[in-house]
Order: sequence, then structure tokens, then C-alpha cells
Amino acid sequence: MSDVVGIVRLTDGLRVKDSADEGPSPPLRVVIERAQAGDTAAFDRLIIIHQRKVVSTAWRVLGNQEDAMDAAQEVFIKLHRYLHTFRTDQDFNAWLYRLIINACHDTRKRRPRHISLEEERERGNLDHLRSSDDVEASAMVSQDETIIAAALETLSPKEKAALVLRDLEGLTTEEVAKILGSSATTVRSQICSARAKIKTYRDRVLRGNDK
Amino acid sequence: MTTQVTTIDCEFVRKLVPLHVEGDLRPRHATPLRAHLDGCVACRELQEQFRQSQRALRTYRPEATGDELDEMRRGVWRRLDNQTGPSPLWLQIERAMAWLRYWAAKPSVAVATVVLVSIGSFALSRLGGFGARSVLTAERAPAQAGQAGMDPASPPEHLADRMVLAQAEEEEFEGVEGDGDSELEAADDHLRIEIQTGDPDVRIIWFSPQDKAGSVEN
Repeated sequence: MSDVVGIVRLTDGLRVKDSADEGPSPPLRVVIERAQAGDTAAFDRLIIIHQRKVVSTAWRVLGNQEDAMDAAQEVFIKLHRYLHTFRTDQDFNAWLYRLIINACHDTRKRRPRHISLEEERERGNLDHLRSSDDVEASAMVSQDETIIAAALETLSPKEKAALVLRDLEGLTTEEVAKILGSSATTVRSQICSARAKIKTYRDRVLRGNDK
Repeated sequence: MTTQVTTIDCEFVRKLVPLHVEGDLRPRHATPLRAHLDGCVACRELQEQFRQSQRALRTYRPEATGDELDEMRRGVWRRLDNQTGPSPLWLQIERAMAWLRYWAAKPSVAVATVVLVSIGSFALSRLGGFGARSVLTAERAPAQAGQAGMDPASPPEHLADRMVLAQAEEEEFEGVEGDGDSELEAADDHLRIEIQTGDPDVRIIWFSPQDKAGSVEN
């Protein structure tokens, strides 16, 4: 049951009603307008509403929690700085995703890291996947998560951003294109390439486990 | 106009199946691809592998704990407390720029702006351009009516509304009178009127009796 709640919060995290522990909430538009007027309590509420979404997206894009937390802080600093330029008839969801992707890009530039499959093996991060205990279902999920986290690191920043927004955040190709400032055709090409790379990486790891 | 792809081979399917598994393929490719998959075991197997890979991809749901999120939020407020914001004037400028960017991105607004700017530029070039290039001078001139091949008393009608009437200063008349040209000095009964057209090589000259030219001078 808790898993179901988790999925709902991930996919619809931008809806105010998702922060159920905060009680009845005013519409997001009202919260934004109050925050724009300088109401710090409203801005804090804006953070609370979106923090889980921002951190998980940044984590998926950057591949580690430390960078994701830094990027998330940067997102909210930028949100505070530029919230006055947001028009309430715009799509806040898309606006926030654009901030997240830009913050991830800046964080990656500050601390570049690109880990290949071979490097992962050298560091021993994939060794546990060869354990015979992997037959259990829970271990399988953990195994997939680890493989996917490593596989995402093999993608280019643009491929990763497109794949995370399309496949993990559940946006449409057109929405992703708008957020990334490119065409839908380009995004389709990027996610096609990214999915193929993820599959190839996963196949190689699983084949290695079978040996 | 797009054309429907009727038949595709396994190589083509291998390229498109990553898009097909999530429904991202355009219909003109999706239909023949499905037809191919119905009859090709190897490609169906590839499709299933991609589906498994996508399922695995969706298991990647890293989430921070509540305490970690609280710590992140406190960090945001610490940073906001330690930094000074921009001036209200600057905020207004940024808001105006954002407003402009928002409207400039709308195609209808962009087209309307281009049309208005074009009309404005054209109007300015018609009004300001002629005025800058044309010169109308009224001089005392010998009675050489007919020299320019026109009725000296009436300027061409289509040019009349475009004439810029220069104030004929008294000094100009005197300067013309004192240039030593005996013919000019002798002809006080007509005014010589010149109009420089937009073409620098074309100048219209006509002569007007003194009584009619007097109204021009005024």
C-alpha cells in the first residue's frame, strides 16, 4: 500500500494536495502569488510541496544524493530569485523542471563525473550483483536499481535529461522538448539512443553475472 | 504530406523498437512495424527485451528521507538569509523583460509586431525620406517659361502634395541677385522654382509669375 502512495507522489508531486500531512492547502496558484508578494511562509510551503519531486528528479539526473541535494538547494534559490518573473498563467510544472535541469547541468559542470561500466567494476560497485542471493525478488529490484543508476551514467547529459523526464517523470515528448528547448524530433532521437544504451549496458552486466 | 511506410526490414525495426515500446513512434512507422513484429520472432524477442529494460529503468526511484529533505530546506533558508536580493527597480526590469519574452514567444504577437514595424518603417521612409532628399527653392529667375517643358504657373499636381516649402529667406534672394548674372538681375517678373526629386539626377524646374509666387513665399 505504501508503494502505491509513493508512486502517486512521484508522478503527481506537483499537485498541492499531495502534501497531505500539511492539511488542506490553498490552490498552488494562490501559494505562488503569495510567495511572489514576499510572503516567506508561502515560499516555505512552495518548497515543502515540491522538495521531494525536485530532489528525486535531480538524483535521477545526477546519479548521487549529495549532488542532488546541492542541485535541489540551487533550484529553490533560483526559484526564490526569479519567482517574480513567473506568470501564473504559465505552466509551473515545466518552469520548475527547467530550473531542475539547469541546476543539474551547473552542478555537473562543477563536479564532473562520468563512470563507465569498467570503472564501476574496478570500484567494485557491481560485484555484489554476482551474488547468488540475487534470486530473491527484493534483491532483484535492488540489482536493477544499481544497474540502471550505473547505466544512466553512461548517457550524455542531454540523453539523460530527456530519458529522465520522459520515462521516469512521465512527461510527453512534446513537454520534454519544451522544457529542454529542443524539438520533439530531437527528443525522440535522444530517448531512442538512451533506451538502447540502457538496454545494452544492462545486458552486458546481466551476461557478466551469468558467467 | 507524409507517406505511409508499407514494409520494413529487421534492421529498421531494431532502430525503431526503442521508441515503439513506449508508444513514441509516429503512426506511419508504428503500423508497418507492428505488422513486421507479427511475423518476425527475432524482432518480437528484441521488443520484449526492451520492455524488460524499461521496466528495470522504472525501478530507479531514489528518494530522500524526510529528515534529509528538512535539512535541505533549512539549507535553502540559511542561504537566502545570508544573501541580499536585487533592488526593487531591478526586479521590475526583470519582470518587464520576462513579460516581453513571454509575449515575443507567441507566433501571433511576433507576426503582428513584424507587420506593424514594416508598416511604420514604410510610412517613415515615405514621409521622412522625401523631405530629407527634396529641396524647393524659390529664386528670382529670368522669364524662361517653357525651359523645363511645362506650364510655368502650375507645378505637376502629383508632386504638389509632396513639396516642402522652404522659407525663402530674403538673404537667399539677395545672394542670387548679387551673383553678377545679368539675365537674373534683369528678370524680376518671374520666380524660378526648383524641386529636387528623390532621384538626385532629376530636378524639376518651373517658372511662375511674380504675383503667384508671392503666395508660395508666404
